[in-house]
Amino acid sequence: MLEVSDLHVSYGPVRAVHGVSLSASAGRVTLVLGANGAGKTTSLRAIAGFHKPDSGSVRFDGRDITGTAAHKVVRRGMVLVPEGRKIFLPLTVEENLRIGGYTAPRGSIEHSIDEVYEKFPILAERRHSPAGLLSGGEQQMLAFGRALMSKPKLMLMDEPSMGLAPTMVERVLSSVRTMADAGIGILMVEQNAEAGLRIADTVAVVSRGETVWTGTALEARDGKAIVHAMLGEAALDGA
Amino acid sequence: MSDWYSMNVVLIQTTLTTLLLALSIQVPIRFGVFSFAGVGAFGIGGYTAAIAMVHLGWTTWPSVALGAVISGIVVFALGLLVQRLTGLYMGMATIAFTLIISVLAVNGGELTGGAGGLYGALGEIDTGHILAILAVVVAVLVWTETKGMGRRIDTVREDPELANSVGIDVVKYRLASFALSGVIGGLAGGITTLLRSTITPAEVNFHLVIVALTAIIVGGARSWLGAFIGAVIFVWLPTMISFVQEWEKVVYGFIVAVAAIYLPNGVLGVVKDLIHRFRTRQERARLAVLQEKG
Repeated sequence: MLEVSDLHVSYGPVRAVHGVSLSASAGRVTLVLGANGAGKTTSLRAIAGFHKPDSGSVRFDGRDITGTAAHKVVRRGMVLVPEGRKIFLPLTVEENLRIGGYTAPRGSIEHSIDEVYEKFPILAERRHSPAGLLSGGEQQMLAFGRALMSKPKLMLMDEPSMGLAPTMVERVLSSVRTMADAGIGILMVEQNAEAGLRIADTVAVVSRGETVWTGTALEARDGKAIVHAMLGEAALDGA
Repeated sequence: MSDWYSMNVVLIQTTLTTLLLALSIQVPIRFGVFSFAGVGAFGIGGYTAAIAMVHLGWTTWPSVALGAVISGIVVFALGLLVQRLTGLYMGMATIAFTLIISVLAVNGGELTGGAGGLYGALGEIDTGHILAILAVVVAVLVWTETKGMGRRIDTVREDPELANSVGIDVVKYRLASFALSGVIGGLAGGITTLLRSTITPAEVNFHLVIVALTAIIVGGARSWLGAFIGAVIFVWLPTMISFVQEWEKVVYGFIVAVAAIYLPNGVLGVVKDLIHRFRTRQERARLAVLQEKG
């Protein structure tokens, strides 16, 4: 469904990403792991169209979408849930959802809202509350709900568990699993490797701007390979 | 009523044209574009209307319309050039645009009347005409402030990146705000000029930016109603505080400073905040109960 190969992205003279390859498919959670500054967020943003890559290709649903602007990518069925939730605090839960349905046909919006409420009953109870009154976990679910409003085939998620209480991390990530089980492809960057691995199918490890390891979540849970890949030779030599 | 009206007709009309000018600055700000090009549009609209009347012998309303169309097109073209700029840079670029318009007017020879300006462009305009035009403008603005369109514009302003990520073409919205600002500013300029029958380069200047901005800051930047409140305050204030004589500007400055510090969302914002605070308190209590259960 999504095939990213040999992506190169730079900010001016700084080469942030040089050689990231990733893939994602329907109904599966692909977890992207890596240290801070490894280029995970940059890769995600380049895939979603917020940054023009210098080279490499992004193929989605059989079409080359490399460098396509972000607002057009959404119409193709790929949506980014940005880092830090980014919901509109003064607007109500339902108004936030409606904004998410911008690209959807007008007649289908009410139905989509109901579907989101079914998936996240907690949002239904709070539909007329300003989003700023929700807890962190509820806000993350609202961010998911907003993304779902565009009827995506693939969701890109940047650190959905960031800043959440441990119990909420579980709930948020299990809702990610549920969305994948419903057939949506998920490409997720997550710092919380342990929690992320519990729901992931496939894992890609990015280090210093390149993909250095890919495998199944089972292999990754095994540990050694991944520590090696994430932290480099030095970590193991020292140990 | 009619006595009061005929005594104050100039002030009333000035309030309405000031409101148009303030709206031409408020619109882009509401779209998250810190543009003062509306004041340049005021100059283009004013000069175009005067030129159409004086040199081409056109009648009042075709002249005003031509001014609005041309200033809309010019400001839209400016938008194509500068729409990527943000914050202060956008402010600087658009103020420069406004100053260029007055330089062009000074050097326009016979066409613009040079530094002395153009005279004898007296249009047939009464308060009813201005109100009718304002009604159309306000109707369009209300549409951009409410429901889906309003929320989308809020999104474009508050978080352009998020707007992009839900599929909104932010550049398109920003450009639309330039065009709208150009048309409204052009209307303000055309009507003001034909009411006074003259326009000079000195009138199209930085002080108009200040007039428009103060009206919006004191009245409220989020809605046309705020601009209206601001326009009323600043057009009528001088007559009410005429007893302070030369201290008038000081009182002016004081009001703006107080508004900027204590009323960040203007007079209108204060009223809205009170309503919002009341609703939020109720909702918070309800959620506290829910969260305890859940």
